[in-house]
Formats: sequence, structure tokens, C-alpha cells
Amino acid sequence: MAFAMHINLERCTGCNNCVVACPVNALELYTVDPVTKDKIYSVRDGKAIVLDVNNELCAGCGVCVEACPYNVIRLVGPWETNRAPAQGVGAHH
Amino acid sequence: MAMSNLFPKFSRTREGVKVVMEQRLLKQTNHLILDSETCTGCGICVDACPEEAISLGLVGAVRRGAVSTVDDAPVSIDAEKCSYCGVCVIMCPFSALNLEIDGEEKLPILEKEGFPEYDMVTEIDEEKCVRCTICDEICPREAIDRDVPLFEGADDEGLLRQNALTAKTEFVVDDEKCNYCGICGALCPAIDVKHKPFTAETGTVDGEVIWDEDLCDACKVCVEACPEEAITVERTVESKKLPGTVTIVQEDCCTCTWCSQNCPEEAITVEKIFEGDITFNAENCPSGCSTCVEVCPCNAIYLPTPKPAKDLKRELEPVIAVNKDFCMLCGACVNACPGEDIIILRRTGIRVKGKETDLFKTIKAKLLSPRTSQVREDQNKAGEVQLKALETA
Repeated sequence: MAFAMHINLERCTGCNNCVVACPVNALELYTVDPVTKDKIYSVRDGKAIVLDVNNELCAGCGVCVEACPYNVIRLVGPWETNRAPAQGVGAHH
Repeated sequence: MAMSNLFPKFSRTREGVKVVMEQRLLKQTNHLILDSETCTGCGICVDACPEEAISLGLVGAVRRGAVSTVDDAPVSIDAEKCSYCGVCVIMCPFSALNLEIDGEEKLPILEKEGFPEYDMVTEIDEEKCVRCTICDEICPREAIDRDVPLFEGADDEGLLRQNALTAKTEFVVDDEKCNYCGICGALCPAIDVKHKPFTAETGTVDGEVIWDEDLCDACKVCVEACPEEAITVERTVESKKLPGTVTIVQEDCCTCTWCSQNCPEEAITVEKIFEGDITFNAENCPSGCSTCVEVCPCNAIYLPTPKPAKDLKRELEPVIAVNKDFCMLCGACVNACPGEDIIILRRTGIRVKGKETDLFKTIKAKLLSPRTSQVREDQNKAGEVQLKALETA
């Protein structure tokens, strides 16, 4: 369903609650090893974290938003046209 | 916004929880208003829209409060594609949509008999109803209008309880026995013992006992307390019915039948607007998500209570279940479910009154197609829920 997820990377601590909570395993927490380009789970000063959303799996159920202890996740629907995901279409005027 | 003086002009704006789709024509302005809070994400409007102008959005997230109803809604309507025909307004079982033409609520398609309406049966038998609080409290949509005065039990400033029923109380003081000692008057606000002035001429006590029927609740403390046993109190109830009426607000009712199934007097008749079946394949559900439970507008889905180990008998209880008695087959759960092949919805009929026009028949065919949710979706249709159509059995 590819709903846009906005994650405040500065406040994400890599606690993994959202990954565990997601019913369809649409979330994955990883950073990319610069040499091997493998995905590795690591938290470094908040900058090496990349919280990826497997867009075609996200159903917009909101369980991750509720699971996050730090309110770092914001789920964005078709209403917010200006902030639609880059590759997505979103709704339009 | 384009700087153009050409009509028609379209816009979509938010006023709190309401989303307003506007179409301004040269001589008329049409508004389609969606209430994001009332909208349940059932998606019936999506199937009903003849212009396919409505799409399903964050059903689960909005309904469970992860996204505020001020920021988004379970459905999204394209103000330009919309033809402002009003079919979605008629088909929405929750009355979440409204059509206004030049500021006035209207449905020309109904007036011109271009579309039927739901044949809703939502009756409370006034004779059988005892004005209890059950339907009002049990209704998941707050669709009951319990217009009964508040008594002391419900409100500190409520009416006195002895006046709730039609009753006759008799308070008799035996003049031979009563010595105007004043105890009954001192105890109870309903009794006043008035003494005649004490004059040395008689040197005795004389007076009268005045009783206020409106304040008396026949508690009989005066009877018990009177040292001369001079008082008799008898109360006869003439009618046990509480004042007021209880009615179903048809506009808000979604025909879940919680009320009619639980009314202790069997005073309520409700007929569901959809016929069909819903199946929960709990073995496919990863569980722990509970989105369907939170989304269901009829409080029909639940997480079965875990049984103690000794009662399991080698069979685990299902992780998710639906009480089909209360399911109105709206489909919100299917739209919200992040999984696949878990919830299967098969509507087989719609109860309507009025002529079933060709437009209605096309829409009915869409609504009657069996469906379930799917996990992987087309990334080109970002921001939209997609469902999986199943073969009609």
C-alpha cells in the first residue's frame, strides 16, 4: 500500500520495537556496511541508522506508531500531498 | 492554486475533522463533506462511486488514533473526479458523508428517484420498552436517544427517586396516639410537626403533623421511630414504567444488532442492511496487531480469552475471532488488515427500498464481489489500499 513513513532519525534510538511490532515485517532496521554493502544492524550516534520501510508491504495499520516509545514515527497518508513520498504518487488537487 | 477565471473550480480543504471537497460551477457550488471521525474506513463509498473518485487510505492508523482525524481520514476523495452525485452519501452506512448544494443539504438523485435507499428497520416498541440503560450503553455507534429524565442515582441534581414511578402513598397518623413529640418531623424532610403556641391556659402540647407526599419515599423510618406507633405508611405502585422514551437514531445506526439482541424486554427490532458472510482464517493471522479489533465499528471482533492449559485439549484457541451476530459486513476490517487471506468478506444481498436503478445494480455487483486483503501491493498506487478479489463460490 506504500504509505509514507516519516521517521525522525535524530531521535530514533534503534530500539527495534517498531520492527517487532510490524505485523507484516515491513520494517527493517539497518545500516549499510560501506565496504561490503551488506545490511547490518547497528546504531552509531544516530547517523548511521537507516530505518527502511518496505513500501509495498506497509498497510498503514499504525501499530509501529503506537509501539514506538519515543514517538519517532509519523505515518503520512494521501491527504498530505506536498509531502508524498518521492517515488509515490499520493493524492493530488 | 491556478490563477484562472475559468469554471469549474475545485478545492479540497480541512475544517477540523471535516474534509470539504468543493466544486464551484458558474451558477452553483457543490460541497461533499466527509467527517473523518465518523468515517470507519469500510470502503463502501469506494465501491459505490461511479467516478472512482474515492480511494482507501490509512484505515487502521486513523481508526486506532496513530494518525489524528484532524490530519487524515480513512478515505480520500478527489475533488476533481467527483461528480457530486451523492451516491456515496446514500450508500455510507455511517452517515459520514454529506452533500450540500449552495450550502443546503440535498440529494437530487434521491429526489429524482435515480437511486434507492437502505431499507433500515430500527424500531423500539414503546409499550415493551422499560427505559432501561442497556441499549444506550451497549450501542457501539452512540445511536440511541435515551430521552429519560435524570434521577438522583445518575446525577446529584437529578429528580427525586420516589417520583420516578406513578405511585400512591398513604400516610396516616392516629390522632389518639400521636402526642406531637416531633420525632418524625425531626427525622424526615417530608414531615413537619407544627405545635400550637404553648399557653398556660391549657398547659398541654397540641399541634398537627403535616406530610408532603412529593418528598415522601415510603422508607417507613417514621413508622419505626414513632414511640407511640401512631404512624402507618402504605405505598402502592400504579405504573412501573419510567417516564421518557428511548429511540434509535436511524441516521447513526449501522444495524449491528447489539441492542436488539440484548434488550431484556425484546422490545427492539433491527434488520441488518447487508446479507452475507464473513470468515476469519485465524491460522493465517500473525496476531498481536489487533488492527481489525480497533477498526470494527460494530465491536464484533475480539481476541479470544486464552484458556487455562488444562482446558486446551491439544487445540490452541484462535488468535482472532469475529462474533457474526454483530458483524454488519461493512468490510472495514478487510481494508485495515495488513495481512492476506485472513479475513474473507462475502456479501450476498443488500436491503434497499425504492427502485433498483441500473446504476444501483452496477454498484451492487461491485459490493457483492468477495474480497480479502493482500500483503504486497502495487507501488505505483502509492497511498492507496488495494484488495484482492476472490472468485465467487
